[in-house]
This record gives sequence, structure tokens and C-alpha cells, in this order.
Amino acid sequence: MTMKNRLNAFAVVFFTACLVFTLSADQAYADDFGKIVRHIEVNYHVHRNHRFLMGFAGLMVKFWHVGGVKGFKAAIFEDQHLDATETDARLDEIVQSAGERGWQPLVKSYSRRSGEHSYIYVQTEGKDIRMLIVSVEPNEAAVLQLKLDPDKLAKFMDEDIGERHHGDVAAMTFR
Amino acid sequence: MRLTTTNKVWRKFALATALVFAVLPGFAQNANANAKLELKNLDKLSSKAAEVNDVTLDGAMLELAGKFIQADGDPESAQLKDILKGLKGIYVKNFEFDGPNQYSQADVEAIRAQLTAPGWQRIVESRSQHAKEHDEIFIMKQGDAITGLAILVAEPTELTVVNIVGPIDINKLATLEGHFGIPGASVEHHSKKQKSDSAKPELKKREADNDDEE
Repeated sequence: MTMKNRLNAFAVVFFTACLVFTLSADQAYADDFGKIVRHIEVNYHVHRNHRFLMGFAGLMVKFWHVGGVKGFKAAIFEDQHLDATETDARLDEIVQSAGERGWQPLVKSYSRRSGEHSYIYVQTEGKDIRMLIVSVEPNEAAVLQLKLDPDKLAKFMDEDIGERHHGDVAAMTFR
Repeated sequence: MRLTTTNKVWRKFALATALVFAVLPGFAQNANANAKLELKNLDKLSSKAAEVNDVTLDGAMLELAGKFIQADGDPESAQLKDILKGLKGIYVKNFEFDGPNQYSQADVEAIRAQLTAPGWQRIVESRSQHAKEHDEIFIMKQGDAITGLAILVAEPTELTVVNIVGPIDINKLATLEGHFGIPGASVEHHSKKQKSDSAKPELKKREADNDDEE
């Protein structure tokens, strides 16, 4: 096999892996991430942006644990119309039903004035922590699911981010 | 084997000690559990409110928050990290309404009733007829130690409940302001209110005590 053929074979395997990962990220909408994404797509009549890129990022994170992040799924909806009060109430129900499957609510924030909904749910998995982040605004939305090693993330923040922003006030601030 | 009187006394002492050690952790856990308020009754206000902020920080997440705070060189961050170490939970519920009368007195009373339980003590109360605002700060004491704190702010168009569970150093408490959803400048805000005529005598006595200590 020539070098060119090897590169071609690698490219095919790599893109297939990205494609499979992109599609499997939905897991037939079986998990909470999938359910929420599905709800946003169906009820707000929007579609995901940067789907392949997110799948690629998820694949990279699976092998290369940057800053202690071991798993990553993301769905981004940009520049689309997501304003609907009735579906907003349904979104509340769907996200909050995640609590029945072991997710602990950390932050729930809702503004009827600006139409913004933000939810952060967490779940411990041995030493690791899983986070489900949902943010819906009138013209954009994002759903993220992360699996991270808190020790490694803290170390990463101390060493890499902390050095760059030396002397900054507390990094984790909810307002 | 016949037991001598000394042996019997030692046996009783050992049994009593074992019982005390067996029961003490339960008491400590109970004190923390008692300091946690049941705030579920406020969830129904979410549908009426224009703005809702709900923060639940306990267990592993509180530990995680402590890890993420970069204490290098910043005294406030170091103090914040220090406070978080002993805490069991931080719970914040804030509702902002478009108009008055969106929440009932019964909603607030359900919280206030829990704060009449043994151990809870009101340290600040501020009422303003003009602004129709009623602010209260409660602490749960176990001996000299403070094991819980509750802040209740009821305004015509806003309701805020902050509940902190775990050992708290009241002198370091101001460090938590503006973090984890706890409203900024709350303690200072209430201290200023204490000085107003509407403040209750218990506050003035406490302030005087603090001044003496300084």
C-alpha cells in the first residue's frame, strides 16, 4: 500500500468515524440530551447548525481529554426563530423530567421578559461529573452534555487558565 | 467471672461513651438537615413570575465549585474557598413579578413557619411600610456555632429566599455575596436598614455587641 493510499484510507475511516459519531450523538434520541434536542427541533421547527463540526469535536474529546473533559455532545441552533411561549412551558417539563433520571438541578433560570431559559443539571458518575446545559433564547439555542473529571479540570484551570488570568476573582460565579 | 465495682463503673462508662459517639453524628447530621428549608412550595410561582432564578448547590457540586475557585493570591477567593469547605448546601430561589399580589402571604408564611423551629433565631428584621418590603435574616445555632442561615426578602414584586446549610462564620459571610446566585450587598444592605428606625432592638443590641468586640 502506497503512502497516498494509506492517507486516503485514513481519511475515509476518519470521516466515517466522524459521521457515525455525529449520528450516534443522537442515540436515536434515547438519552436526555437527545430528547431535549428532538423537542427543540420538532416544537420550535428549527434545525441544528455545525452538526458535523460538533460531531468531530465530540470524537476528538473522546480520545483527547482536554482539560479533563471526557465526553462532549453539543447541538447549536443559531439565527433561528425560537420564540413560542407554549413550547417554552413544554421545554420546562422535558428538561425538568431529566431530574427523574438522576440529574440534579444546579441552576434554573427563566426570563419571560427576554424569553431566555437556562438550565444546568449535573450527575455524578463515580469520580466524574456529567453536566447537561440547556440554553434557549428567542433567536438561538444550545444543548450541551459534558462528562468531565473535576480534578483534572480544576488542575487545567489552575495551570492553564489561572496563569493567564492571575489574580482574577473567583471563576465560578452565578448571578 | 465476678465483676468488681470498679469494673462495673468502667463498663457503664464505656457503654455510655459508645452511645454518645454513636448518637453524636446523628445529631450533627440532624442539625444540618434541620437547617435545610423545604422550598418546593415556591415552585408554583415559576409560572407567574417574569424572572426566575433557582440555584441548588450541594454535595459534589459544592465541592466542585470549591475546586474551581482560583485562590492564588486573591484573599477574597481564598476566603470564599475556605467558607465553601464546611458548607453542605446553598439554595437560592428568586422570583420577580410584573406586578404586585402575584404571590400570597401563605407562600411566605410556609417558609417563615419552618424558621420558627427550635434552633432558628431571627437576627435581622426590617420592615418598610413605604416600600412594602419585609426582610429577615435567620440563623440556626447549635451551641455557639452557626449551622445554617436563611434570608427572606419579600417585596411587592419580588421574592427571594436564600438558605445556606452548614457551619458558617458570620464574619466571612459577606464574601458569599454576589456568588452562587446570592444577591450582592445583601448583608450590607440589611445592616444599613438595621440603622433605620424600623429596625428591631435585637439588631441594635447585636450591633453594639459587635462594636464591643472590635
